[in-house]
Amino acid sequence: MINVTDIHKEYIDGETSVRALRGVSLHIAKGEFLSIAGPSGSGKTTLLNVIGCIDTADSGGLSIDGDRINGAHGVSSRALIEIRRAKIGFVFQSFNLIPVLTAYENVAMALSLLGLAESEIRERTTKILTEVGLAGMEDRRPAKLSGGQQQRVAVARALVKDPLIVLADEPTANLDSETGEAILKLMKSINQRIGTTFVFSTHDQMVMDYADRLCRLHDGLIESDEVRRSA
Amino acid sequence: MKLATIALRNIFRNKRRSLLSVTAVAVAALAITLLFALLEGIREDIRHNAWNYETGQVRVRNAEYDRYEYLNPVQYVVPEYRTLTERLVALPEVSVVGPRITIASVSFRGERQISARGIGMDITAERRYQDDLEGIVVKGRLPEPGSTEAILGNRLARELGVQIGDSVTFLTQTRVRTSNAFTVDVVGIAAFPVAQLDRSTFLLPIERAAHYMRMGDAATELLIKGAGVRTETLVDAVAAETAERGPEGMNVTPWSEVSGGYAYLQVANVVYRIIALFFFLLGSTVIVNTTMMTIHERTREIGTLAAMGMRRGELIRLFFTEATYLGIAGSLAGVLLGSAIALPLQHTGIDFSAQMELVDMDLSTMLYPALNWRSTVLTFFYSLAVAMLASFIPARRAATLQPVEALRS
Repeated sequence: MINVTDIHKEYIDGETSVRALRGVSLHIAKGEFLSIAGPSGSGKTTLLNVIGCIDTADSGGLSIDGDRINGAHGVSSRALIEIRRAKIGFVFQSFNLIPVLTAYENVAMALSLLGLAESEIRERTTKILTEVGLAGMEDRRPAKLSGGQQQRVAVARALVKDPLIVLADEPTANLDSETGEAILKLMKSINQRIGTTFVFSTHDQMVMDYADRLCRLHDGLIESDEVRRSA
Repeated sequence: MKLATIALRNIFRNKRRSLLSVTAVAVAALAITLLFALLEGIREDIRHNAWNYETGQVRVRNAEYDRYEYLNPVQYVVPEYRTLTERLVALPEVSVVGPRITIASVSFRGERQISARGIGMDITAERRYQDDLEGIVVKGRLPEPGSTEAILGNRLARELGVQIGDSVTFLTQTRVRTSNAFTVDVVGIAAFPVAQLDRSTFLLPIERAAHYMRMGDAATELLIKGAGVRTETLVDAVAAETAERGPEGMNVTPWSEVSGGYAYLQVANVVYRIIALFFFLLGSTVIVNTTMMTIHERTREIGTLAAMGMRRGELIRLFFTEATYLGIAGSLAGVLLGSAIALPLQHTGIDFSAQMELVDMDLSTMLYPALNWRSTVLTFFYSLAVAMLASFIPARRAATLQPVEALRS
């Protein structure tokens, strides 16, 4: 489903350059619950960004669902937007909800961008909010929700469009352990019930424990790739 | 979720900043509304004064008079003016004709020589020609037709030291280039709307003026107002009539060609529009600043939206719509407030008598701003367009942000 082949990425900041990824190759199959772990600066967020098509690799290949993203015949930037819009869901460490929108509107927005009919948007949004345990809180704005509730909205927003993959960048980092675990359980149950593919970047042991597959990254290289449970 | 709804809600995120933007646009729109109302008032005033006292809507004069006007060529006349007046009044395009005899004269007070300009006019016809001839009389009355009476401009009377009941003698040069002195009885004091008329003009019956000037049945000029027709149409009709049935050698001139005020107005129109543009640009800098600050504050949000797959065009539209809302609010507030100030001034007027004291122009000392709804609506759309355009550059910049960079902020 997703193939990462010998990806290299270097950041240049003034006179300093950081080689964030130094030849990473990875295959992610449908329905995986994969955790990319590693210390700060290991390149896990960069890898997630490249897979999520919000950053481009300097070299190497990336293909998503048969679309070649990087390389000599990569897709256009317009096509990248379409891929992000339809196939990729993001869950951010700081939730990144739109503060002027209610929980319902934050989630519905992902479907509005797909140009779906209002009735379908309403049906799918209500359903996903119920699934993440936010029924009755649809009209609350992010400021009126707890951190855990906000992250549930973010998860619902990522899932509502039925994406190929959900990329979660340290999703529990801003949550207490209890709330963090609840979020992980939620994502795990969705993964098991619907078969949505989840990829996390984390250095949280709890997230690693929940993963079916754990990739450890160190200095921009995959140190280990361990399948713990079959998806 | 509609972008317009998000944009509207975003406006209320930082109320004070939004208010600042709205105020900046509103101040610009208000100033321009007032400026245009004043300009419209000046335009109407210049037209009114020129049509009544200087040029008419269209003027018929001897072509040679026009050519040698600087020499006071009183010998070049409009002959048989009564017949011509009757013929012109019969034209459907013509509403009224005001024949005039101009008397360039002086009066002596000791060693002092005071210049004055007499206008001989058909007092009966003039009541029809001018909308409110009686309105200029501040003391006494208008002269009787055929009499030796005259009404003097306020300041001229003061200068000459005469009052109602006094007589005043003027020296002039007649049509046959001889000198002639004549005496008129002051029966009224007039407050002419234009300062220059007020200090030099006296009105007298055209019959007496013709006698003093040895004009016979001739007049210096005929001032004509149209029956609600365009000036060009009126010129064509009058020119066709004079060309066909005489007299020969007449110039038929539209007021726009001979009025100094009209020329001033043309220049003022351009200058005021440039001033308006500067006002708008000044207001728009606040919009630019607001949009830039908004984008800076919401960089991560932009990154999130881009990561979700929002297209560049949609991002531009989001910020553009916000600026449009601010622009609508500011423009509307400015135009409404400007109109609210201008409307009462339309009746009370603004007194410029001190400033107009030495101005040699067909401009009244009391100016009445006139709200022109067309230019007011245009002001609204101009200020809105400038506000929208001002937001476009920063909005475009926001849309070109790389999602990963925006999310990192």
